[in-house]
Amino acid sequence: MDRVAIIGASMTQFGDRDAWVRALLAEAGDAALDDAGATAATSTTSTFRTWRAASSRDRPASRTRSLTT
Amino acid sequence: MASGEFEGQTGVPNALAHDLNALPAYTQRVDQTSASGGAGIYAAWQSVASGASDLTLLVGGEKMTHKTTGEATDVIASLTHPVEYKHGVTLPSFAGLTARKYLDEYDAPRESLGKVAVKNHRNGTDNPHAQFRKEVDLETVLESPVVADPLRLYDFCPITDGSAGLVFCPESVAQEYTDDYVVVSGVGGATDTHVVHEREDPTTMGGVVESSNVAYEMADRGPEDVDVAELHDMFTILEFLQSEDLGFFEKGEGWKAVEEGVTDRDGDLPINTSGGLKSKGHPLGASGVAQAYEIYQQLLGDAGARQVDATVGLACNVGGFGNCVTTTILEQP
Repeated sequence: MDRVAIIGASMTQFGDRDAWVRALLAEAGDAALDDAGATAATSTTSTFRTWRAASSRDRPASRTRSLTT
Repeated sequence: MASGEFEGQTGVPNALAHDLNALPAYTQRVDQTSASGGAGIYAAWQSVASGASDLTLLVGGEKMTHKTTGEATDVIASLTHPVEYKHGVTLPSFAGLTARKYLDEYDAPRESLGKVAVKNHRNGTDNPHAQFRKEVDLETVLESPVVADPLRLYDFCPITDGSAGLVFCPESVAQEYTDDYVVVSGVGGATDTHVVHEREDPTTMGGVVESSNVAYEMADRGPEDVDVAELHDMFTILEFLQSEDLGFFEKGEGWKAVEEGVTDRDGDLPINTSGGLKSKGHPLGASGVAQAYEIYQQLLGDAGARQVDATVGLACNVGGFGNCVTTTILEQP
C-alpha cells in the first residue's frame, strides 16, 4: 500500500476573530492548498478541478435503458 | 467541528467546497467533539490510502467567542452522559476530580501542574498564530481563581476562534507537488466509556493507550522513537495523563518529567512546542489539525524559534474526557 503524504498545511490566527466559521475555514483551506501548490483551479487531479455543471446529456446512450413504449 | 451548535449552521463542508472552487469534490463533516481534527486526519488518511481520493483537503475550524463562557462550556458538556450532565458535570469538573486523584495517588505536588501551564505559555510566545503570546510565572498560575479544585484558571485552555488545514495525497505523487512533505506513518483511533466513572482507573485514558498502540504498530515505531509531541492539554492534568498513556513515561511519573525539564523545548522530549491548547487556544475542530500543523513544521524545519531536532513526531487529540482519541505519527520521508 502506498503511504500517505501531507504536502501542505496551514494555520490561521487563533484568538478572538471577527469572521464566522465559513470564512475561517475558507482562509485555512486556501492557505493549505497554496502551501501544497495544489489550488483548486490548477490541479490536474480528479478531486480538485475547474468545475462545470454535469449534464445527463454527457452520458453515452449505451448506458441508458431503452424504452419500448 | 461543532459549528452547527455554535452558529446554528449546517452543511458547512458543502459551502466550503463552493467557496474554494473545489466542486464537485465530495465533502463530509467529521464530528468527534474536541477530537474532530484528529478524527479528520484519520478520515483523510483513509480516503487516500483506500484509493478513493487522490487529493484530500482537511480543514478544521470553529467560531466560539461570540458565546459566553457558560454557553460554550454547556455546548461542550452536552457530550457527557445524560446522567452526568443532569447533575451538572462539565469537562472542567472531570478535570478537577481527576487532578485531585492523580496528585494524591502519585504523590505529585500541585506546583507540577502549574509548571505545565508555565512551559506551554513560554512556548506559545514564539508561535505567531497563538491566542496568548505571553509568559506566565508559577506564582500567577497558583494564585489565579479556583475553577474546579485543585485546578485554577491558568490550568485551563481558553475559548478560541480559528482554523487549520492539511492536504493529503499518495506519497508516490507527492513530489509532483512539492519536495517539502511529511508522511503519515501511523494513525489510530479509539473510544472509551461514555460514563467516565465506569473506568477502572480514572487517571488512565484508555483511548490514548489503544489509539497509540495502533499508531505505533502501523508505523513500526515505539514511544522511544518520538522526537517531538503535541498533546491535548485542554487542562494541564491531561498532559500528564497522555504523556504516560502514550508510553513516554511510567504511570505516575509524567509530572516528574515536567519538573525535570524533560518536556521543555530543549529537553529530551519536547511536548507542545506550539504552546499547546493552553497558550495557542482551542477552537474545537481546528485543534487536532493545528497539532499536526506544528509537527509538520517541526519535521520540515520550518518552526522558526520553536524549532527542535526531530524526524518523528506524534500528535494526540482527545475528545470529551478521553471518550474518543486519535493518535497520529508523522515522519520525514
